[in-house]
Amino acid sequence: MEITPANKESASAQDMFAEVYARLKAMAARQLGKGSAGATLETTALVHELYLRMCANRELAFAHEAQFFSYAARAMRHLLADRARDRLRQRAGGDWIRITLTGGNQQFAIESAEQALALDAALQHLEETDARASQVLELHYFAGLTVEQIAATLDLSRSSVDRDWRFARAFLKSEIAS
Amino acid sequence: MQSPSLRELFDTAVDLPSSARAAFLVENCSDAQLRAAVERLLQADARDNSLFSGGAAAVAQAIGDVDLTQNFAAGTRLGPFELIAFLGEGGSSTVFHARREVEGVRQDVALKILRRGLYSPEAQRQFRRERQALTQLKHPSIARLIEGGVSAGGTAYIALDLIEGKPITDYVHELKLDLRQRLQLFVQVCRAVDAAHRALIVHRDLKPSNVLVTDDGQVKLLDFGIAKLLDADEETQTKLPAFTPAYAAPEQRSGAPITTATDVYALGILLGELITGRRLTGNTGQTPSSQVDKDSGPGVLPAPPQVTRRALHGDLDNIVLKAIDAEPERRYVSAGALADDIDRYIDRRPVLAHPPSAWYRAQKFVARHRGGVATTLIFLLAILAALGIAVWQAGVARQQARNAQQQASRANATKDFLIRVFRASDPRIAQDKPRGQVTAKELLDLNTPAIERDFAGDPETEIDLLGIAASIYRELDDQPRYQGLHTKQVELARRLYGELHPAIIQGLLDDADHANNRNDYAQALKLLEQADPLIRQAALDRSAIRARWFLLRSHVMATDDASANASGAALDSAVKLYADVAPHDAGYVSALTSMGYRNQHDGGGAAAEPWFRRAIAAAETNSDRDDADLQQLTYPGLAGALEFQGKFDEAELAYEHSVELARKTYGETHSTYWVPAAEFASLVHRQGDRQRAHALFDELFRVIPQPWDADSYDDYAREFYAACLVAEGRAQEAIPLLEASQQTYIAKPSVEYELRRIRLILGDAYDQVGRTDEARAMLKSTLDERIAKDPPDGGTVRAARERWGRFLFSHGDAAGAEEQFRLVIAQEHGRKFATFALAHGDLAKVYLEHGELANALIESRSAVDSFAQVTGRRDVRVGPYLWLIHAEALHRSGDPRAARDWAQRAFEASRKYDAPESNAIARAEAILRQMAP
Repeated sequence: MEITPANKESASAQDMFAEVYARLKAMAARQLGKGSAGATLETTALVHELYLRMCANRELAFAHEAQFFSYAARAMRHLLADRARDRLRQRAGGDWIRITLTGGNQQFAIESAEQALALDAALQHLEETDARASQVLELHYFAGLTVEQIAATLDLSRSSVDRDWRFARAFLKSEIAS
Repeated sequence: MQSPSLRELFDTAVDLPSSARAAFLVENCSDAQLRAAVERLLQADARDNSLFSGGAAAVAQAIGDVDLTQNFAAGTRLGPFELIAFLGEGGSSTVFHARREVEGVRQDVALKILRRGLYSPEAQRQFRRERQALTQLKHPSIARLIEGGVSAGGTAYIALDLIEGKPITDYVHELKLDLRQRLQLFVQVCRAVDAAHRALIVHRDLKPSNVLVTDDGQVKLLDFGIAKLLDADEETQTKLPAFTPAYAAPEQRSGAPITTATDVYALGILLGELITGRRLTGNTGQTPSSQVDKDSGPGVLPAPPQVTRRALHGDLDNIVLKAIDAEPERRYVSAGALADDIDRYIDRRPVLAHPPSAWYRAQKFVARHRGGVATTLIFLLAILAALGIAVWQAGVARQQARNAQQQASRANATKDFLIRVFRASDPRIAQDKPRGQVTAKELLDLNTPAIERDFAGDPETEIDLLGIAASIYRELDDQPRYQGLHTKQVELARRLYGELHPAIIQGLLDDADHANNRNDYAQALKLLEQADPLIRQAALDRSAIRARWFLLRSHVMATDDASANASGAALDSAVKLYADVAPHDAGYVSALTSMGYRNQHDGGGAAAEPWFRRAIAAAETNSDRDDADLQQLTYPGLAGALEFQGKFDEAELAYEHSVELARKTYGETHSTYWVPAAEFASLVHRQGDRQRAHALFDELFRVIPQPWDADSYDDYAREFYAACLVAEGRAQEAIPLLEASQQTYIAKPSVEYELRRIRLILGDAYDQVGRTDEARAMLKSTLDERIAKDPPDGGTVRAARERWGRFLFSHGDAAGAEEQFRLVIAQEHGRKFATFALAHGDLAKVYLEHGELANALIESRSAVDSFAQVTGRRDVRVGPYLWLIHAEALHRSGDPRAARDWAQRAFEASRKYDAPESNAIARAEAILRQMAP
């Protein structure tokens, strides 16, 4: 993936992304390890926990919060896409695995995985069309930021965020439908 | 007017009532395709939003866990293998008995199939890399990994030796093995684990079902490193991590980095189970002996419960508790060390796990040498004899004394004879004596007050003996007693013989030496000036005393730049005079060593090396050598000279030698041992062997008393250790240590050099953990201080400058950074030092930032090439740092294949050199990931 430095200060943008990604990955693994069979990725909680650790401890010098959250959201997006691909690969079957899909849950899981991947692809198109709208969507959907938080971190008005969000949503839905 | 965009059309239209939208679009958008797109968006906007409710978490939940091995069928094929029967199921894999035909020969294997697929190219590469490492792991006690692969569909499998054996716990129970047999079997297990650790493979899941014993008593470890293999795709792992909770170390449960210490923990639990019949539940503070299962079935315990309890009490309790300590750092440094300790226990030698009390060691000593404790007695007798001989020698010498020079040599002879008794580098003295020489010192303490009383009528012998006792106390580092006796001796000599007695002159020189060591240069110089006319008047200008005077003068002068020339001249005179009149004096070795250092400074390693070698040769022909200088100065000096020339392996040997010598001479508990030991450990670390370096440091810190006191020797050890932590990416842990050392140095007079040295490391550490303001202040002030105090064209300024530039760059000041890098490179003059390589790499980053790819590539290539031929002190970790820069330059210049190779190389090197949690590894991995095709 290409990292587009958000501003001039991000000479070590790559490093920061690497750090956020690695930490998030480790935390996700840990969270899943701790939990029971129903363990799931509590994306919002993870991102915020990481934020508290990294920024509060001044471990990383983020130019501003937006940079952190956009990296975190991006990392989370990758994690989700990976998980979805895994689910779909299972359906495709290996050399010897014969999976019979029974029960609504299995079906639902497959559909969700397909949807997650479709969303990922659509997001890429959105990024090319309207980068800010896609950023708003990523922050909300993957990092769990509220509209107010997004407005504050991106230094936008609430109504701008609302508009971005609405456009992004419509764009993705129409992409996925087509 | 430019036609409105999709976004603009949508934003306006969506606010209109739906009835008005069509008209708006027709009016404002002539492009039919665009219009259709907006209409699709508007329709989508009106549809329900369930897609986004709940966020990513809800989708993740819905996708759920993925398990690829839910269904299987015997008889199906996977790669070359045919599944025969289901054997078992683990946390992340399913195991089958499988079979293949190789050239007509049937081979039965245990086939493990991963529950989860490896779909990303990086995960598959990782799997193959790990598998590669495991295939190379060959040890008679480790089940072989025969093959592994990823099928076209992404199913990963591993074929292992199919072992017929029993879990080790069942085996010892069934054969009713006694304690010794159990321990010996367990040592086999440890040795196998240690061999794997040396190949950088951690088991991660040691437990009885993975530790089998075959019918012929051979230990076979299963699944080595498999847990890691199964974890290859950690970020999407949806199963429990691959370990077994009962044997999992605390760091495994908390998700902290897995190291060889993790296996040591599991081994400790296993050992506990083998000897108590019960699986211990972590380190609860209860001793294993108190948990012996008295109701166990036959064969479970090595002996009846009472007997077992008594046997475990003490050493075995301590061994198990040390192995399962909650803190990984406090466990055995390796499985090999655990095995060694058990071997020691079996041989009744002191075990490391025991708190090192003098009484404990004495007990072991007596147990090992039943009937042979005489060694200590012999030692005491030697001291008594030495004192007797000294007195006798003093008497003989007195009669023979015709002039002052003879008196001087007599005094030295008697004194040195006795001092030698207190050193252990003489092979005639028992190497095996308990450390501390406590009884010898006690003897001296008892006898010293008697000197004045018993020899009151024989002042000349009294002077000698006071001198002897004083010197011994100096050797034993007992400053107050040394000073007291020394002052008494000089006073007495002055009263009897006036100022010209050699004892008085030596006394003045001793005082000057002492002042110099305390960094009180003015006082040292004053004493030397006082001694100068006395030496002349006593006609000692052609004696070892004058040579020593020159040597001390050169040392005192060397502390001031202004008198550097005078210092050099004095050193030349000292060397020449020693060579002429006293080539066997310990001072000659000192003088030659100083020459080495002077040349090191002026001309680099090649000029210095011969001087150090001459010093060592002089010491070796010297029957009365003073090993202290050799250990502390000569061998480390030689090592430095060799390292400077890029002869890293020889340097390592030289350090090792000085450590050995110090250990033999002073013992581990003496602070003189700590500096070379710490130097050696850091060289090993700079060479990239972090496991060995940590083992060396661990060993060292076990003998340095806690808490740290203000002795500069232990602060060197602490500082070097902390510097290694910073280098391998553990700045967070290093900072408190560095700050404490800094405080100690500040509290001391005249250690500015150390202070400047430690501050650069501390600044680096602050920067690593994002304490930017502190890093900025520290790095900038260090650079300024070094510019003010150090030679302007020297390495210390360049190192600080390069680091400051790197700080500026990573915090947004590319122009300021570039200026620093160019200042460093301006001093390069064709030399290949690590700092120059770094500066070229840094400059490449600047060019990359500006998008000047051609220049970036020139610089990054120059950095990488220069580091490949580097001379001078260098940390191997600079390599991966530069390779990543080069990889990025290549990547952006359109050579992705070469870029990936360099990134891959950097990633692998960092994984070897750095702590698992290091940023360097994560960075390399992420960059590699981005470069994946």
